[in-house]
Amino acid sequence: MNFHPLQTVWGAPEPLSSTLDLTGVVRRHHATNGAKASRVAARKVAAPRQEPGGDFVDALAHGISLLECWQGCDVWLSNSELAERSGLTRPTVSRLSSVLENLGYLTRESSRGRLRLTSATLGLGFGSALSTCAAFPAKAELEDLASDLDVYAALSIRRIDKVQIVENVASPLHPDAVLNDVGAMLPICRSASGLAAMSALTEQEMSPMIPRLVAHYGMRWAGLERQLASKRMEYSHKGYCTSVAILSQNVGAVAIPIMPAGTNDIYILACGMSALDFYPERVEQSIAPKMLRTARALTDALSR
Amino acid sequence: MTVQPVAREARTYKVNSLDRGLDVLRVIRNADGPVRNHDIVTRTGLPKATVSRLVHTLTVMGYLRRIDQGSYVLGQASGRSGRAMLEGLKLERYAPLFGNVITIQGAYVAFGMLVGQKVVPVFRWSAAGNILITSGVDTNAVDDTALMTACCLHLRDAADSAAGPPDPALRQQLSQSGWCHQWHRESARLTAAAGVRLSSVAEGILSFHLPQSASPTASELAWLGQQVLAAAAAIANESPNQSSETT
Repeated sequence: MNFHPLQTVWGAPEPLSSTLDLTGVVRRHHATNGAKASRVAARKVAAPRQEPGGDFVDALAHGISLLECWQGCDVWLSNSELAERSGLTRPTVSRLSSVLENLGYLTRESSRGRLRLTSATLGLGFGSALSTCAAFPAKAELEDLASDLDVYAALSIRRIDKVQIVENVASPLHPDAVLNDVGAMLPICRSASGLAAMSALTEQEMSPMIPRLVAHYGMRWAGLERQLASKRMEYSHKGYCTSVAILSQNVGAVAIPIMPAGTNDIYILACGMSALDFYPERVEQSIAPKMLRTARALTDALSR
Repeated sequence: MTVQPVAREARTYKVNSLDRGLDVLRVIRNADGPVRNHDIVTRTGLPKATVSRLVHTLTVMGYLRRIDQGSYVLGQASGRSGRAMLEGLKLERYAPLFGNVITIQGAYVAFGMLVGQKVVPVFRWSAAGNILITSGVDTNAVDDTALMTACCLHLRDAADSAAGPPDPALRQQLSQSGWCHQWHRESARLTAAAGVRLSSVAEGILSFHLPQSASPTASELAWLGQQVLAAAAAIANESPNQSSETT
């Protein structure tokens, strides 16, 4: 029987395959049976450097991979469970969990020494529109819109009195068009996406915003209010809002609010183009129908 | 010869790259918009090469995302551990505590957690259902900043915050009765709030939001105060393994 030299030394079968997961950790798949097989398959193996001499910082990756061990309704986990789930050795888990405890991300149960996450973990990214799962399913849909319609396509989310872009794609025919970056905040009353978001609100939901907007825009509010009323009317009749030269001169846009089930969030799908390419027939016959289909697909994808 | 057992000292470990990497993540989280390496260097005081390596690692792991022109925003993975922590709290189980309130048309109850000096809204109970607020904005409660700040300072027994000192009227309400309220005439809403401390896991603010077109009467406020304090006490004391308390 031929053994691989390492098998002779360690007495362990070689993994059949290994894949790199999103956390940068190598997941190795072994050919063993039964319960052990599922445990081994679920176990991660601590990552070697991604590129020898590269910029990957192992200690940071391992520390973060410990925080990712809590899943579903897990509350308390022991060091051995953390070692099992992270693929790190017990001494490494012990050291890193102490560090994370000192930094306030973990708290230790006094009687059994088990660990649980604290609210400090919220400060690492929870509660940011950019860390929600919206961008992931949207990317392919936006690319599809941008290439089929030759437009700039974006998905935004309402953030109180602004909207924030969470994903965007330029038209492949106009890759140099000036885009708003992901993360950029647009004024809710002065952008196509913002007006679409406001069109989706009920009178009751909108009433707390009005005093703030009046205070912010002052004399300009009367004109904005008329514009808002016309966009709400357009949305109720057609299911989308159109705007020309609201935020940028020479830009026309179509925007559709998306309200996924099981959440309070309002996302906005928008397509922008040169005002020269923006005319009613094109909007009604090609852009709006395709955007409405995409909006329905995104509503399903983002609903919980 | 007898060997005396040696008392093991609690060792304090330090892993600089982990500490620094989490600092970088917090800087970008607080910016809540695109941040360049140069901005991170300025805000953390770390060397440029160190920031570059940490940012690269966080990007590979999905915690950061590089966007056009070399700026970074939070990546999809960055909310994972916070979400796991919230799921562990099982906040939806408290819905029965608010039965008297959320049956009122348009009323809801919210829970915000203190992260640093900010209150991050995380959960909402209403007749429409229970919602984990993943986008970090409770859009209906943005006028309650003064109320949240006052509760936050009362919970931490602090006199001042980055957002300024608390409203004197709210501070007095909190010191007298442990909860506070505010009526918004323009939006016809009444908000009442109290702090809840889940020892060593989380500090939070429980707030009740009710439609109220006229100024609330003393008996209405007394009823609301009773509801807020009873719910806050029940949440804090409900889970023995959290060894909790209310303020």
